[in-house]
Amino acid sequence: MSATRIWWWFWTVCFVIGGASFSLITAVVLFKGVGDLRQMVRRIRNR
Amino acid sequence: MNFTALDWSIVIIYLALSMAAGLYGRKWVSGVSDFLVAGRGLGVYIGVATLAATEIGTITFMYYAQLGYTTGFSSFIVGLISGLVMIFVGRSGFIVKKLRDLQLMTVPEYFEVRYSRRLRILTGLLVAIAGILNMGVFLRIEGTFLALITGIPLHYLRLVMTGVLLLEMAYTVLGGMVSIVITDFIQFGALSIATMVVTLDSIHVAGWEKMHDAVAISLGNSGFSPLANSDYGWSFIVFQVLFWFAVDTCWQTTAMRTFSTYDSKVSRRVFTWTGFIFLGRGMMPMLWGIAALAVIGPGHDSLQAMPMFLTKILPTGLRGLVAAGMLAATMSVNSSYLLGWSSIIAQDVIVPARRKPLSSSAQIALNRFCNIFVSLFILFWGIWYILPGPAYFYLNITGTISLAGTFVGVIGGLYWRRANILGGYLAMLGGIVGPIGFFLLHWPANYAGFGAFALAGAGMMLGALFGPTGQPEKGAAFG
Repeated sequence: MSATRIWWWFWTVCFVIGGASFSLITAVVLFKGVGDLRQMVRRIRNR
Repeated sequence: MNFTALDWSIVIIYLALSMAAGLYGRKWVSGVSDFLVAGRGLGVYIGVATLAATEIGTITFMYYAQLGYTTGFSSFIVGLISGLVMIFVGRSGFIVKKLRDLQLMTVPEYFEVRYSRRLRILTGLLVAIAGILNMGVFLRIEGTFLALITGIPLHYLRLVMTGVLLLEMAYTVLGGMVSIVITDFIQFGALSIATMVVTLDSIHVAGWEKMHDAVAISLGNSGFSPLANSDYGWSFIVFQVLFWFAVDTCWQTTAMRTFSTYDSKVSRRVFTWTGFIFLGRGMMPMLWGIAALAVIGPGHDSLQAMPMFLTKILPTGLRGLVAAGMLAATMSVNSSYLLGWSSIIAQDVIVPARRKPLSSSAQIALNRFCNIFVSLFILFWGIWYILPGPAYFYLNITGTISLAGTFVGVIGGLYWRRANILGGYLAMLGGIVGPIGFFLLHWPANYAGFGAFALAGAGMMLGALFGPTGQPEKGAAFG
């Protein structure tokens, strides 16, 4: 396998990990972030 | 015109929702700490959303896609470094833990805590100059994207830029960080969906193997190996590692998220999670640039290639959704950056230079005034200034004007007992040599950037050798 091909496979793996991380964490953050927002407003209001 | 009534409806509904949420946030602002750091009340998830939204803009997509279009898969090295460094910062707490525990609101404020008030003012000045020059090209590049994707003729660009700016100013000036956090959350959702949609569509249309072939034909080995690419190489990799450590810890807009979290444990988790997002943040738009190379071919304006490609592949409806997502990305970055740089001018240059302290309400008014000033500057700079090369290198080097010295000054202050005021001054001044070399003497970006950090470090060490070991002005802030 040429060096170019090895680099390409390396970037393919990096991209899959990067893309999957982005998507998964986005989903979790959006789902749980609503609660955080409410808590932030509550903290400011209760000071 | 590329936009249909459906596309415009999607964009207008999104804008109305976003503006309403942003303006609603102003009722929670009762003091300057609410205005600048949202009362230090951010939890992990909202912290991740606002940090990611702040650092993912249309500008990000444009400059990364430009790198992908011009350097192929080699550009992924930038995305990889940005993600890995942030994950390391989060896991280790390097700098961010100590800075959060100090209850600061700005990075130059640390310089008064550890060194002197005058050094804070110098640092504030350089940070503001760096930030404003850096942001100066945002509107133009973002406006170009929006004009191309909607089909609005490019000679209406100034109108598009002004319109976008006015929307951002409205909730930033009134609601500060509270409004920004609320709108960032909505915008994070919109831009993430747009990012994933465009990525999947690009792979579907261009094809993974076809992208490999296009890069191989246009760029050869330099399109795959960053070590073989003359724009990158080892010096660039070292510069990028230093640059991203500095951005994650000392870039004011990122640091404001550190200061806004509930405590340092939350800060660290925010950085770790956001680091994983950053892996995709870099590589996904780079892939759009590579897909543009595969579908529309080489030889086009490298900054316009990606939006031209998207207008070709996105159907009606999806185009409106993506435009709304990109508008979201634009507004989230610009609002945070406007607040970041205006707060530096107000809190770190004007307030410390005054003899009499200002009340909280007067500080808020001053911050709002500075916000308007920065907005007007970037509008005019964006209209007048022409980029000297790839946007990513301009942004790196303008940021480095203050980042090199600030990063060294903060590390020295937090981790080295011998760091002193003279070292702080020499670090800040040493750090601007590289950017001067880039803009006036046309040094390559990697040498200018690396040189800035090296000279800043040398300045700090020289100061420690020859300067007096004085006590910090506000008591023990070391360690």
